[in-house]
Amino acid sequence: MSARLSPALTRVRALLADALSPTRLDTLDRLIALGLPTPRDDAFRYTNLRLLDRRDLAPAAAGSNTTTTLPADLPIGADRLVFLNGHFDVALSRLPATLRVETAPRTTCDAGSISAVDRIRLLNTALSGTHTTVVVPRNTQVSLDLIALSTAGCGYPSLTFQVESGAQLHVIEQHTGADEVESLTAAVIDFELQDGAIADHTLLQVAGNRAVVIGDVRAHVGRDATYRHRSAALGAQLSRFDVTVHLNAAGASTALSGLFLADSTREHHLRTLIHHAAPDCPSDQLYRGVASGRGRGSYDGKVIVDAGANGTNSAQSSKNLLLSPDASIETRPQLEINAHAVKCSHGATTGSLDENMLFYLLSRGLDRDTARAVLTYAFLGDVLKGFTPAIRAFVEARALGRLPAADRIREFVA
Amino acid sequence: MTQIQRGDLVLDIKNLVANVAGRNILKGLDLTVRAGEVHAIMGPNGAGKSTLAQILAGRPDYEIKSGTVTYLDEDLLALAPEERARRGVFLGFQYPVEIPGVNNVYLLKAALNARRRQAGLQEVDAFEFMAIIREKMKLMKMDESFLKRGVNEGFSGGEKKRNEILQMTVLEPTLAILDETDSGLDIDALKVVSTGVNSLRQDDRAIILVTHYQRLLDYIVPDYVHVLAGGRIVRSGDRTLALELEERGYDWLVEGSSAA
Amino acid sequence: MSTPTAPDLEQLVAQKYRHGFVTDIESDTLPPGLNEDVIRVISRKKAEPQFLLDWRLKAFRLWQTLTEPTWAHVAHHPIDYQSISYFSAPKSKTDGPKSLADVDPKLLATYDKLGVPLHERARLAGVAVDAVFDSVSVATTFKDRLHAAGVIFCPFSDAVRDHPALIEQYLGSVVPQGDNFYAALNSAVFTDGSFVYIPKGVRCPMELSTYFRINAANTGQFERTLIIADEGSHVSYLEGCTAPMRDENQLHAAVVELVALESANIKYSTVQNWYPGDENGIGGIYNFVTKRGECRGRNSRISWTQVETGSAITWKYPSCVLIGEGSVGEFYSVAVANHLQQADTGTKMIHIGANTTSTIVSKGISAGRAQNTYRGLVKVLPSASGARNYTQCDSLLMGPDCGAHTFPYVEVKNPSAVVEHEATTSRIGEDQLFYLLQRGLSQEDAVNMIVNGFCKSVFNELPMEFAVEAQNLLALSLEGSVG
Repeated sequence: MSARLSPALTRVRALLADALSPTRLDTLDRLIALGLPTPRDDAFRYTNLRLLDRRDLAPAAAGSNTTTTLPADLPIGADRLVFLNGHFDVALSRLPATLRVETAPRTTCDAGSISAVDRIRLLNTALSGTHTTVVVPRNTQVSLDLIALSTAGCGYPSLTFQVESGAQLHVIEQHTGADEVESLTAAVIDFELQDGAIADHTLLQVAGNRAVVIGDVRAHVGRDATYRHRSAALGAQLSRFDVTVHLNAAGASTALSGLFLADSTREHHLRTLIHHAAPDCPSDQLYRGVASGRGRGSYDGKVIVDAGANGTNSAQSSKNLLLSPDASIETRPQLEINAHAVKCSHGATTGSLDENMLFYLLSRGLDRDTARAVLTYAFLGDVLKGFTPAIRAFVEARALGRLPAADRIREFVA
Repeated sequence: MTQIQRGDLVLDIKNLVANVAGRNILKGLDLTVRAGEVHAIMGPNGAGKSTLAQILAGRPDYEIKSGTVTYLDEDLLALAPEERARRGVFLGFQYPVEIPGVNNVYLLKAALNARRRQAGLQEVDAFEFMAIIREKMKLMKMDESFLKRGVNEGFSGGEKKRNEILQMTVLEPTLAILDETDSGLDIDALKVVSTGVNSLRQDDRAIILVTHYQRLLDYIVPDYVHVLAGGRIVRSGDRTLALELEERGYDWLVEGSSAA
Repeated sequence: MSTPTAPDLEQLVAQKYRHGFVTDIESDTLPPGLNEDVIRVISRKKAEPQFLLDWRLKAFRLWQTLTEPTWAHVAHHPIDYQSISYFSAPKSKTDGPKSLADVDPKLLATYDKLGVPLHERARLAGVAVDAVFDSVSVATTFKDRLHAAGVIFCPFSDAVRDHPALIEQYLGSVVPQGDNFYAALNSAVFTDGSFVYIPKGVRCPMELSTYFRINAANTGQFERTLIIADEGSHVSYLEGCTAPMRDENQLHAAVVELVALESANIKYSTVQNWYPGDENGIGGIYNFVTKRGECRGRNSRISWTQVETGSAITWKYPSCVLIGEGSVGEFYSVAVANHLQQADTGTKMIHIGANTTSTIVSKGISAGRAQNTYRGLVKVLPSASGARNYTQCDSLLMGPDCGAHTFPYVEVKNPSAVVEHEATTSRIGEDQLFYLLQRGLSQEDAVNMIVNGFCKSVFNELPMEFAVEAQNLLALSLEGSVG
C-alpha cells in the first residue's frame, strides 16, 4: 500500500520535533510513513480527509481561562467530564465521588498491523497530552456527561472507561464549539466492560460549522455485559465516527442506533464493526441518514461472526433519504459469517420521500413543504424514540431547525 | 364558503380522456353530480373506476388528454391536490398508505384546520379538536389507542377503511369520493362504515361511491347508479340498475358498449 | 445439532465430481510461458488481421503494468503465469474442423459423456451449440437455420475471419483491455469463444448455447464471448462448463461482453460446473471471469442468470451498465460452495440513464469448509433520475465450518432514485427440516427440497430445459451436507 504524503503531518512534526517525547515522535513518524487514511483505504472509501491538508494539526494549549463556559443549550446533568480542546479540564469538570479518575502520560499505541482506523489512533497517541482512565467501581451506577468543547485549534481527547462487573455507566458524549472556530477533534474513547456491566453511551455531535470531528470508539464487552450506543451527527463540516464493538464472551450484547443530517455542504460518515467473538450474543443496529443541499453521508456497517459464535442473532437496518439533487449517501452493510447456527439480517434503503405518502398528506390538505417536512421528520422517528426525553428534545430542536416548516411539524410525529 | 343548496352543481365532468403510463384509460367520460345526491359508480375490474377517483383527487401520474372537470364553478384540474382538499374534495383511498411515525390525530387536526383556514373560519385548538374527534370515533367504533398510532400504521384492512371514513366525518367534505371503501370489510365493519357515510348525507354535500359490488348499496342507498366500462359511462339508472347488475353481471353492458 | 451423525455426513458429503474424465486426444499445445512472441504465434495460428494482433499486444503491455486484485475474500497460492500453456487445440488431420463430420469422433464421444446436445438430440432440444474444447471451438450446430434468420452464431475465430468489422467495432468496447488484471490477460491471449450477432428486430429462433471444457493439463482457458443484440432483437444464451479432475489448479480467465441496443433483450444464463477440487481442496479450476453488459439503447434489457456450483475459486461479477433510458439490468444467482471451495461473486449495476431499473437476487449456499461471498455494487449516478434497484441477498449455512459473507456497496447520487437492499443469513431451518422428516421424507430429499425452495426464484429465471439440470447439479454438490 502506497502511503499518501500528508503535508499537515510533516508540518506538525517540524513544529513539534523538540516538544514531543521520543516515543510520541516515533509514533508520529510511523504515522507519517503510513499517511492519513484516504479513500483508497477500504475503511475510508467514503471519507476524504483531504481538507486536513490545509490545517494546522498542532494540539491546542491546555488549560481554560475564567471566561470559558459551556454552551448554555447543552442538555447537561450534574456530573461531567470536560475536555477543553482535547485536554481533560479539572476546573470545568464535576465528578461524582464514586468515580476513580486517573490521568497518565500517553504511551505508544502498539498495534501489530495497523489498519486505516488505527492510524487515527496513532494521530491521537502522538498528539494527545495525556490519557484519562475512568473507573466505575463494582456494582455502582454513574451518570455523567462527557463534553468535548473546542474553542481553538486541535484537540486529541483520549479516554478509557472501565466499567467493573455489575456496574452501570450512563455517559452522554457531546462535541461542541462555536461556528467560527476551525477546529479538529480526533478522539479515542474505549469502553472496557467486565462481566454483567452496562454502558449506555450517547454521542451528540453538535460541533461548529467549521469543525472536523473524528472519533474512534471501541467497546470490549464481557460476559452478559451490554454496550448501548446512540448517536446524532448534526454539526461540523465533516464528522467521521468508527464504532467497533467486540462481543468477547457469551451473553454480551450491543445495540447501536443513530441518525445524521447532512445539510448544506456537511459530511457525516459512520462506520460500525460488530465482532461476534463468542456464542449467544445479540446485536442490533438502526441507522437513519438524511442528506440535503450538497450534503454527503455514508454508513459502512460490518458484522463479523467468528467460527464457533453460534447463537448469534444480528440485525442491521440502514435507511437513507436524499432530499436534493446534489446530495449523496453511500451505504455498505456487510456480513462476514463464519459460524453456523446464526441468524443475521440487514436491510438498507436509499431514496427520496415516498410519493404515495406525500400524495396522501396533500390529499388531506397539507401544503407541500409541511408534508415533506413531516415525512422527513417521521423518517427519523425510530431513532429519536431511542433517546431519553431530554436528549430527544435537544436533538429535535437541533434537527428541526434544519427542516422547513419546523414549527408546524413537531406535533405530527407519533 | 358560499352556502350550497340541494341541487346545486357540485361536479361536472365533460368528455374526460386520460392516460395512465401511456395507456388510455378514460375515453370520454361524462358525469354530473349535484348537492344532496349519492352516486354509485360500478363496473368491471380495469374499467377505470379508480383512475377516475385518483384524477379527481389530483394524483400526479395521470395524464389528462382532453375534457373538463368543473367543481363548484372552478376548474378542478387546475388545482393542486392540497387545494382541492381544502375546497372540500375528499378521497377515501382504496389502499390507504401507512405513514409510520406521523401521528393520526395531528394529521387530522392539521387537515381540518387547513380546510377551515381556506373557508375563512377560526382554526380549532387542541381541546376543541379532541372533543370533535372523540365523538366521531364513537360513531366509527374506534378505540382510544388509535389516537396514539401513526397514520394507518399496522392497521388491518378494515381499520384503514374505518380510518378513512373517520377522517371524512371530521373534515365534512363537499364532495366525497369513496374508492372501493367496502372491499375487504366484514359485515360488521361494513355496517359501521355505512353508518359513518350515511351520517354525512346532507343537502350541501355530494357523495360518489366507487364499488364493484352491490352489497354496499344495501346500506348506503344511492340516488343514481352508473356503469363505467371501457373508460366511459355506458349506462345510468337508479338503484334497480345495481340489482340488475348483481343478477346479470357486466358482460351484457360491456358487449353492448363495444358494439355501439 | 441433532439428526445425522458425523460419519453419515462425511459419507454423504463425499460426493464425487461426475464430469471428471480426461479425453485422450492428441492436441496441439504451445509450451508454457507468456511473452509477445507467444501472442504473435497465437494470432498467426488463427490467421488474425493486424488490428487484432495490435489489440492483443496492447492488452499484454497493459497486463504487465497491472497486479492481481487482492480485495476478494479468497486465498490461493500464487499463480505462476509463466508455467501455463496459453494455447491448446485438439489436433486434427485438417487445419481445423469445418463441420461436425470433421470433428474427431473421440471428441464427440466426450461431448456425449458430458451430455452436450450435439447431433439429433440438439435438434430435438432446439438448442444451437457451440462447443469450446480447451481453447478452440470445435463445432457449431444449427448454423444454417440461424443463418436463415440472419443470426450470426459462430466460434469467435470464425467471426474474426468473416465479420472483422463487427469485431473491430465491438471487441473491448464493454470490457476494455486494461479493465482488470484477468481481463487484460484474456485480451492478450484469448484463443476462442463464441460470437453472436442478432440483427435488428430479430427474435432468435432458438436458445443459443456454448459448452466449455478444459481437457489438457497445464493449460489455461481464455475464451472470449461477444454478443451484440441490435435494435429490437431478442436472444437467450446459455453456457455450461466442465473440466476433468486433475490435482493441480488450472486457470480459466474468460471475458464476456454483451451489447444491447435500443429495445434489445439479452438473457445470458450460466451453469458453471468446473472441477471444484477434491474434498481436501486439491486441484480445481481458478475461475476468474469478467462479464459485463451494456444496455446502450433505450428500453434495452440484459439479464444474467448464473448457477455456480464448480471451481475451486470463483471470482466473477456479471454486471450491467444501464445507459439507455428505461433500460433494465437483472442478476439472478445461485452460488454453491462446498468442501474447500471459495466463491466471491456478485454483480455491479451502474445506473447512468434515467428511469433505469435493476434487480439483484443472490442465493448463496455454503457447506463443508467453504467460503461464499456476495459482493455487489449498486451505483446511481446523478444523471439517473428515477432509477430503481431492488436487491435480495440470502445466505444459507450448512455446516459449522463454512463462511457466508455479504458485501454490498450502495452509492446513490440522485435523490429521485429508490434503492433497497435486503439480506439474510441463516442456517437451514431446523423446523422446516423436522416438518419434512416427520412427513416421511429422507434427510437428503428434505434438504434438497428446502434448498431448491431457497433457490427457486433464481431457477425460475433459467430456460426451462436447464432449470432441471441446475437443480440436479445443486443436489449433487450438496448431497448430505446438512449438519
